[in-house]
Amino acid sequence: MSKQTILLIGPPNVGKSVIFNYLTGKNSDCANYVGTTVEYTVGDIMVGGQEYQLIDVPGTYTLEATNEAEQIAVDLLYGRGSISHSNGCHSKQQSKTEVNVAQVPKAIIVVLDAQNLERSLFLLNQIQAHQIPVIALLNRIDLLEKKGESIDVNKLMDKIKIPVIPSVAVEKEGLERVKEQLRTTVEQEPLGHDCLGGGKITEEEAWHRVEKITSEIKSKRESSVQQKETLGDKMIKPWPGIPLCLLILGLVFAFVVGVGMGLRQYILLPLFREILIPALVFIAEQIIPEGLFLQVLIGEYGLLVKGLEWPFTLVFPYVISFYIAFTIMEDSGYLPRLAVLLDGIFNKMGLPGSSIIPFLLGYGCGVPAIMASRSLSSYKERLIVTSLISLAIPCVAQSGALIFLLGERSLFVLVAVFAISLLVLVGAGMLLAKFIPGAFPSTIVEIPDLLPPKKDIIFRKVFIRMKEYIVDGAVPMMKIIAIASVVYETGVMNYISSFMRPLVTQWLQLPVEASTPLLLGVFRRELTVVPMIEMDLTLVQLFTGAVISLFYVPCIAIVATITREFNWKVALGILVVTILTAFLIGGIVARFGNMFVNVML
Amino acid sequence: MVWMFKKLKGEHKRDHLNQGITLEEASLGTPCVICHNVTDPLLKSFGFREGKTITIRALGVCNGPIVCEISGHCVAIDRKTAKKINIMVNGCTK
Ligand SMILES: Nc1nc2c(ncn2[C@@H]2O[C@H](COP(=O)(O)OP(=O)(O)O)[C@@H](O)[C@H]2O)c(=O)[nH]1
Repeated sequence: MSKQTILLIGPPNVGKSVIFNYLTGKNSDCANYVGTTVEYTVGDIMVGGQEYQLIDVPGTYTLEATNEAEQIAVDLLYGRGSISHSNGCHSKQQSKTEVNVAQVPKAIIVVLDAQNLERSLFLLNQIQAHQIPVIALLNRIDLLEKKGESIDVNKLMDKIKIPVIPSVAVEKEGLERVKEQLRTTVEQEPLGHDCLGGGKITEEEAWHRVEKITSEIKSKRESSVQQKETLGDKMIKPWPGIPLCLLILGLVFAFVVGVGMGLRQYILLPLFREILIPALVFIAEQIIPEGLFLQVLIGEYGLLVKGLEWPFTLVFPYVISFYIAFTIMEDSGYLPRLAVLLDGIFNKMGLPGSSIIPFLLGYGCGVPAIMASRSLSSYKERLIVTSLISLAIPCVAQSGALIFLLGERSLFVLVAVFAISLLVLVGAGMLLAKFIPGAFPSTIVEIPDLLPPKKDIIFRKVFIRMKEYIVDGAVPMMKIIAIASVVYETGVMNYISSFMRPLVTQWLQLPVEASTPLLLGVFRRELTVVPMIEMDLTLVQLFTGAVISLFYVPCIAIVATITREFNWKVALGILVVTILTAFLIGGIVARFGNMFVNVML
Repeated sequence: MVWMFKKLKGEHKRDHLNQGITLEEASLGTPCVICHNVTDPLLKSFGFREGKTITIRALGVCNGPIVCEISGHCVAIDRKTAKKINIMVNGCTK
């Protein structure tokens, strides 16, 4: 028999992921922006000796089902959910746990936002109409207290007649009590009344009662206007918001490149090149007889040589530095401010400002970025964002490789490659906005407080993402390098390359070996770049290669994600467009790059 | 003619709301009060309800969103939506 379920419901950004992780002992992704949980996450929880499944429902302000997340919440309440959920953390290859969402949940934990009590109570009231036992967690009271406000919890319980547990999820305060309280709650029958005193009341009346309760239990009315302008306020004003934005993004870029290079140069490269790889090669030579197998392991594309060096010394350092920077921006609440600041500009590409979040994520990895685009409200917006991520945003692995490939030869060409990517991004966005039918984006978003990010949360999230990279990025990359190694050592590579010769040598003016990266690049983006490092290329050839790799097919994982999120036709369309764009712009750079490079150098 | 008719209708509406303006026309930093029943559930949830005080904190570039403070929180809304919210600078008389 399938386990019974308990729902965890609350508005976005209230701390559900933190609470979920504590109650289930899992590591799900949490962040200070709206839309972290688009899929729902499931984990096991023991209550009074019995195992239940806790479902972290996507954040919802109301139960009116005005968007996908709210629809999921409503479906789960009625016990008619579907089973698109992730197990633990955002990753493309999640192990699926069995969960029966086609049953009415046994109990609900409603997370109230202490800073937004009125609407939290309104949501609670809507949830209670479903006649399921409820406990309420009043989270983020620390932030309320910081503002010099307080809530009389006993009085609140008195008014709404259900257990209320005050909590500070990030400090684990109050969370143990939830487990204790659940024991009695799962045994209970539903209350048979709602928190606003029952009776059939209109929505207006409900809001009215909610406002009244809040004013009676809160030390200060919610409508009190704050006068002091904070740094958070400054960040959303055009002045000084835009210069601040440029400064912050510049610092982030410098941090990612600087820290990444440092990690590579001083830690990972010596570790792999001087210790690990020679040791493994030595062992392999001792125990494996001469022949094809040994060559596959330690030859030109050897699994134990390039198979370790590329994923761990070229890409991994930038994965670490990128995710540290991204997580800090994410957790501090800067991203929603950036979204609001850029909203007007993004509208020109038919997108809301909040699409900056999938875009920035795309500079890490396209797979979670495309999944995060689910939080956008229309199909048109999702399609534009997905196409642009696939076309013009290099993932961290590819950027790492590009920085390495070009950084030492010509910083100028490196900057030019990224500038071309931005130009194509904006141009293609404006074109797509014109041609894809759909409504103009509308914006109604709440901007969370700017908070100093918590060290342990940053560490944990970066750690999860590093683990994800090793499992979903490095291991597949090693497998492909192994295949490449076999294909290379057996001479098949040369044979396939001969077919691509005219395209590569004549149109792109690259040496014939350059067809290898083009073949490998179908599997992983950075593999269009990395093999070029080993070739003896002129600066223009490097420029051409870098530009092709930038626009060339997104990796196989992205194509799979697009097929899953949209359908195979969209995936095929994006494939064709990216390949054509890559060869077109690549050919142009090959012809005119010479002029450009000569003028600039 | 049609234009005049529209204008008259618009003025008639304003008159009804006691010289109210829309949020889109409000000036930066002046507290205003929402004067009608907002129907959008999300807006309501964010505090856009009759009688609530609202202050514009910032105006986005390139016709970007209006950032307002309501119920002690910041909410950004696009200008089209802001046009549909009627406010009064000196409080509602209703
Ligand atoms: N100060 C404070 N921050 C919290 C608390 N609970 C969660 N947070 C922070 O709020 C943000 C949103 O949390 P998350 O769990 O992602 O919210 P979700 O969208 O509801 O899943 C994160 O940056 C958390 O660190 C709390 O009780 N106090």
